[in-house]
Amino acid sequence: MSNYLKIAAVNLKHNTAPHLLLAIVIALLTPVIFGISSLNEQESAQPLEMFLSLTGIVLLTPVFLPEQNENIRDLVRTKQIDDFAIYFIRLVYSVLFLAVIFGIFTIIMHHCESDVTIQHFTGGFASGIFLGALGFSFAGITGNSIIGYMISMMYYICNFMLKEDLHHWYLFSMSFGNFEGKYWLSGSVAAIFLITFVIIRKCRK
Amino acid sequence: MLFFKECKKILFSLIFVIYCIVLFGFYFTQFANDCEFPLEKPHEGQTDYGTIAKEVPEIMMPSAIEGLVSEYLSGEFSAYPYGFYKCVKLKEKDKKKLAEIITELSGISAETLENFDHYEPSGYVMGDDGSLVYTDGNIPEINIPPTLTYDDFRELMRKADKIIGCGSKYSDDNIVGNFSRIPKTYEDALAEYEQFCKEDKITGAYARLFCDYMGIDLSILPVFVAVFLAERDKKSRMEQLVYSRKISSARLIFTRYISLVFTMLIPVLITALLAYAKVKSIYPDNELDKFAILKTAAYWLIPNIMVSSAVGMFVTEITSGLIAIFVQGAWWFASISASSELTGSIRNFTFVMRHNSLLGYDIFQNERHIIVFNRLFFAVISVIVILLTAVIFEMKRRGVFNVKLFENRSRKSET
Repeated sequence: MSNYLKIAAVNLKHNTAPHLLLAIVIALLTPVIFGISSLNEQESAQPLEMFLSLTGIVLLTPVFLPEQNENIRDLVRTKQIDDFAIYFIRLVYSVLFLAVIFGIFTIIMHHCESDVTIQHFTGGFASGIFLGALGFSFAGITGNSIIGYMISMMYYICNFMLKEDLHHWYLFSMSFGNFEGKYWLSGSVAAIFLITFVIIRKCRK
Repeated sequence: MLFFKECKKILFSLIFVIYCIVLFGFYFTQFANDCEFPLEKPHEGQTDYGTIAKEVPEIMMPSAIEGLVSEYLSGEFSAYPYGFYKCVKLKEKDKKKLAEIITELSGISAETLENFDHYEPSGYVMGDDGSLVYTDGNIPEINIPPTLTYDDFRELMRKADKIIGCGSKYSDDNIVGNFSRIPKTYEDALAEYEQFCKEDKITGAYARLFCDYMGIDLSILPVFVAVFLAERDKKSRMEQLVYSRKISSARLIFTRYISLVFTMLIPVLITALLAYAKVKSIYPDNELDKFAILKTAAYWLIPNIMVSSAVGMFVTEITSGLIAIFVQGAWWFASISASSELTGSIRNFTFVMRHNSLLGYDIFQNERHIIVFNRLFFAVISVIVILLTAVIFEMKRRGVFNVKLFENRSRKSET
């Protein structure tokens, strides 16, 4: 157990810190771009879904980044601990950071007299983690984080253009009073994580 | 030849394939989707021809003042400072300043505003029988001073907008659209249609729509391709090898840049040809300008590709790919959000130009000198940025510049 904690601490320090910093910058920019005080139920969903969700891309896409350097990858594979365990550790704490960012932001909105509930937190978080999962998956499968960023950013942009054409996978549905899509997003996230690990494992064999 | 080698490298890269898929996807879901049917000619006797924003002081002044008084009494102001809704609540100090402006505009004293407690907003409310009924609301009586000129009114509204925090309904960009809309007549609608056919020769209008949609994508997509290629050299540890070559830094960087822009133009050219074929298919008997889409795409979209690629190359060279994506993404987001209107909102430094309408030939023509300046400005800026990239590259080659940020920091732990 202590080994895994050590891995998490080292990874946090060397790999995740800059990305976490960038996610915090995005979170700090959100109230500048969107109002967060005295918003009704639907208006409250906008900053969470339309901007804060970008933190998902920043936090989850670089999970495979260190091993994309061949030297590091070869070194990690010589160790006793499975590299998939390391990916998993990074994924878990990245998701936790994402949840913390959404949690703190929702509480701040609540203090600013906006009509936010736990549903806003889970709905916004579902959009953020879905965007992040797309980046995570493409970065992992192609072995290149830039492709991960590109795909997740393009999907984000598509949400402004295609809107309801994306059906259950429309990221901003809560801003239009619909929460059902969030269950689909959450289910898809679990599937994406699983499929990504399976594909990477298969490709390695 | 280096140029062809670079082009080949880009054309056969995975990122370029994804770039093409996204671009074609955008073309088919956005532009082609809007070209299913020809634009209908207006006919006499239609119930509605739409409305048009027209600066008519007699309409604008009373309705804007009423809007401002109403928002003041409600204590909340709607604003879109970055294109997204923001509910603004003023501090006491600012409220006092705004009350003074309202007094000048409406003759309502600060005391009346302070003590008025029967405020009701105007709008639709549910009647007893369940139907929607429009109510006028309840605000103090407005008496616009006869000495108030239109220029004074606009100046006071500008001050009010500044107090609210910009992007309000009373800003120069929004006041006409919000408070001075008049219904279009049959003649207005017909004249617009005639312009669409004769002045624009149909394809001119579709060219603007094509560039509007593709410009959204092409203002951000190239940064990913540029970063991918720059990072690939780092990843495969080719940097040192490239540094040791005879070729000058300027020649290498400019060749890479030109090949990037050139290859990324190929799918744009294909979609432009597809767009022409699509328009031809829905207007088979009309006279069309064959080259309108290509011409418009050339001056509208090439600067977008140039800037986005230049930012990608420059920021990756001095810091890292992630920062380059973040910088370009932030610029793209700010530019898209700043366009309060989808037509007629092009300014000297608007990066993502919008004109999301087949009509509005006049509006576009009026913006023409701005557009020429705008596109030339961005083209020149991108060349300057690439020049700086070459300077940084040369410094790195000589070992006098070494900034590593957001790079794979695990190299430290590796040792």
